[in-house]
Amino acid sequence: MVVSRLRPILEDKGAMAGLGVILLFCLMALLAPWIAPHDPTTQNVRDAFQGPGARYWFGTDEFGRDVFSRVIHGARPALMIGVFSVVLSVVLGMPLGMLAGFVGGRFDTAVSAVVDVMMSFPSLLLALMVVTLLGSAPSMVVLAIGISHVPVFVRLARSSTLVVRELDFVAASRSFGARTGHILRRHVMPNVIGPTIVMATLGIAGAIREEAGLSFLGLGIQPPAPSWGNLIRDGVNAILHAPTLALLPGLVLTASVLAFNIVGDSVRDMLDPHDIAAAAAKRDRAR
Amino acid sequence: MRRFLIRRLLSAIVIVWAVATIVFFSMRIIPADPAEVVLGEHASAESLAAFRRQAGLDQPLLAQYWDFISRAVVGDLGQSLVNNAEIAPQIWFVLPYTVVLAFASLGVGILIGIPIGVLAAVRRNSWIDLASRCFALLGFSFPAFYLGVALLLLFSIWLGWFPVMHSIRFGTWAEHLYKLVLPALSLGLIQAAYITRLTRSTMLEELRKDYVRTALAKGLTMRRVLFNHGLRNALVPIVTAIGLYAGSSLGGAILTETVFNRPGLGKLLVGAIAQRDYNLIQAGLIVFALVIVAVNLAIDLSYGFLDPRVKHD
Amino acid sequence: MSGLAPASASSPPPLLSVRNLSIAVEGAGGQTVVDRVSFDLGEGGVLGIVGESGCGKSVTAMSVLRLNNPALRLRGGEILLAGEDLLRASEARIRAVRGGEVGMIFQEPMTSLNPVLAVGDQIVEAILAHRPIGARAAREAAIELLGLVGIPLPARRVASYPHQLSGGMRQRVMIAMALSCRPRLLIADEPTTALDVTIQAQIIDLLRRLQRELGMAVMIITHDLGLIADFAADVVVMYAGKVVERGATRDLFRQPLHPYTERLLASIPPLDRDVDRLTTIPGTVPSARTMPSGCRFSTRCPLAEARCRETEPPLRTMPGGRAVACHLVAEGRAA
Repeated sequence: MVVSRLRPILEDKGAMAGLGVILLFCLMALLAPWIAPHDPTTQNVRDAFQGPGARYWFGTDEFGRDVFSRVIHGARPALMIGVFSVVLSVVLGMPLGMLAGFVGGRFDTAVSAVVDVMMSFPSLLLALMVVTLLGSAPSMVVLAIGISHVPVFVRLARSSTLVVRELDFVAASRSFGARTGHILRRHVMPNVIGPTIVMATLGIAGAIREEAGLSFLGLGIQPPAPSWGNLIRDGVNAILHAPTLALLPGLVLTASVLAFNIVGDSVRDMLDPHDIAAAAAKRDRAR
Repeated sequence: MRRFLIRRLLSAIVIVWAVATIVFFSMRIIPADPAEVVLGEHASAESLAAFRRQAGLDQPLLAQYWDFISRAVVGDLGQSLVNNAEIAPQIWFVLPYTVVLAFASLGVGILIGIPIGVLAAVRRNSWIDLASRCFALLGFSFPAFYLGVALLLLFSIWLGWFPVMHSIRFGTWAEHLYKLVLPALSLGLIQAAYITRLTRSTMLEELRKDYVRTALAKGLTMRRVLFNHGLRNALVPIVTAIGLYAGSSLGGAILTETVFNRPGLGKLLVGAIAQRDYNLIQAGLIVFALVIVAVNLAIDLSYGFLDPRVKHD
Repeated sequence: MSGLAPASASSPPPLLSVRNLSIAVEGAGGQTVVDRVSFDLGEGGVLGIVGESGCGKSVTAMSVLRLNNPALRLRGGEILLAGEDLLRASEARIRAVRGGEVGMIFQEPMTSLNPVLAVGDQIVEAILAHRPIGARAAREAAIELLGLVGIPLPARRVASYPHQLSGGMRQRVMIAMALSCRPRLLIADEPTTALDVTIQAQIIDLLRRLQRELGMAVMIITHDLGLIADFAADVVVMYAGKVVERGATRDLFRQPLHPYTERLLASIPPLDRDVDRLTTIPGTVPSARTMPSGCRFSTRCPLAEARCRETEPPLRTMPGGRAVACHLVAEGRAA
């Protein structure tokens, strides 16, 4: 059902461009060691602070490392952390939200209260706290960003479930005594999955941005490993010597976030976030 | 109204208390030993014990918790682990900088976002609508700190209008304002993107409603119909969303303060994390929570003024 | 008073004259929703426009103040207010007419008032848009208007918000607002459809009283012919965007000519006796795609013959200002 509704995406030029950019970044991450012209961590102090040119496309940093190669290698942590942290958020958030919406009662009240409080906090702050407590290993960064985005998916799954729960066929199968787990998998999940895909695509954009932010603060991927946030941080520290050092990695970062946002937006248009509301309206009219 | 106020105030207090409690205990279950972190791996057992005694870390956990809460209630947030300095005055010093930055960027966001959003809704599918959508998409994608870097490059390095590295001393009001421009712009443009998109979609919805036709039938000017009727109704969802963004905007402030080397709660927190000053981290997080809860409380109360249908009881 | 046939050149122009109004949905193949509609309404007269939903009566009414959805485009015709063509008037001029010379009330009092403004402020706004008086005087006038439309405790109600009022009260507020500048013409677009039956009669009674007291003309749009039987002096019956019959209400009730009018009348529940079932008109108004090339009512008309489906009957004016568009009437076979 979902897949067939995704077909129009092939006709959306913006979305195709976004998908193309994402594919490019995936290839970049996969093939980084083979396509990067230089080693990302080899220092070559004699070539420090070279401007962008034929030999060093994006210039070099204070240790003479090739920024272009570092940007290519930086796609790895960005995409890995972006995707894995969102997967974590979905895996934790979607079942919890579905259950809260379906069961209702005190459980729902408690979950909603915690979600509301967490939502009112900046996710960067939550991520900062987790990283402070658990350290900055890449897996911990995934955990930090993943946890900070859980409330979004809980809330989304919960609100979709609330609507679906009242639909006639679900109410009917409940009255037949179907088990909760069965109803959730069979009837609720297909209706929750669409909006969740949209939110997950946009969530990857947010997670990439957040990883860059954490690394920029020195609390994400630890140097000398290349990450886009680190590169911008290095660039800002050397802004007087080499003004453009931060500029190009930042543009690459923005391009990748933009690509995920464009694709997320057009998937949203495809799936139409109103379709669940429309189903509810149809139900009301039928009564 | 009074009952609503009291209930909201109580829940705000409970939230801050819960955050304080969670933060307090998380800081104590971490694998790292603060004494070792501060004194280094090679510190002697005696000096470690002395440090623990002095910082109260040798007390039972619940006793520490009671001590912490009872002091925090009266505004005493303890001492820094690193230099023993009182924490509360440090926070009082930086808090206004963060609050001013948050309000200034919100102001930029509203001043840019609402007019563009309204215009885009009225001239739907015109070039200005298209431009507003591109602007919103870019705003969603630009990390605020990178936008700060780009502004710094443009206005400080290339145009030379603003100093590159701010000194911590701010001095006169004019100086304050001068140093506020770039940080507020870099955060505010991002917020403007959110507010533009939201204003556009809310206005599109409002302009379809019957009361807009009634207002036109009275012979009002289009401007009056838009602002007095359409926007006035759209404000409720817009203010709600601004309240939601207020949190993430403060999160952005953490990064922006670091980019512009500007004093503030975020920069204080990041510095504390780098130094592993757990007491300062703890205090910083709690004050952040306090600010966010206060903003949400203010938003909740504003509904009563914006929407007469909301009954506070 | 209100001559229904377009006025001749010598007599003074009627207050409102709609001539050959045609409106279609935007685009090349756009459906025509109003097709060459003409009627007149004299100063101080009351005209009913009747038809099922979708017959174009509301679009016609909205056109007077140019309040139609922008997707509906004018295809031709004119709407003259005391001789001035409103369809070609400037923006500023039409703004002065709206709420000034012409007041309008709508079907849904629930949604037609701005929910976040006090009703008094909404009336004051209408007054200040047209009359050069101060805010305090406008507020006094608003209170007076609320009293005029029969709202109890007007001085207190002026500060109420729409959600604090019942549907009937809100419609009274709408009427007060429409009358705030003493219009020469009041357009009421299904003013009672969304209300309870008992409230419906009250609102019609109020409109009748105000029309007499203020001497204004009223154009009332409804699908319920019975509702306006003793209010409107003249009636225009519309079907699928066309006028099928028009005439004095009295004549129309006594002897409906068009088969459609006849069935509309038959569907009014009689007040003096109980009936087991009401006659309803079978079928629905044809859509753009199924619109017959002949008489538009031919798909539902029990008397329809072959030519009814082939050629469209013109609107024929008859003695006494009556007009009807039916092949059979011309031969005296229908009705």
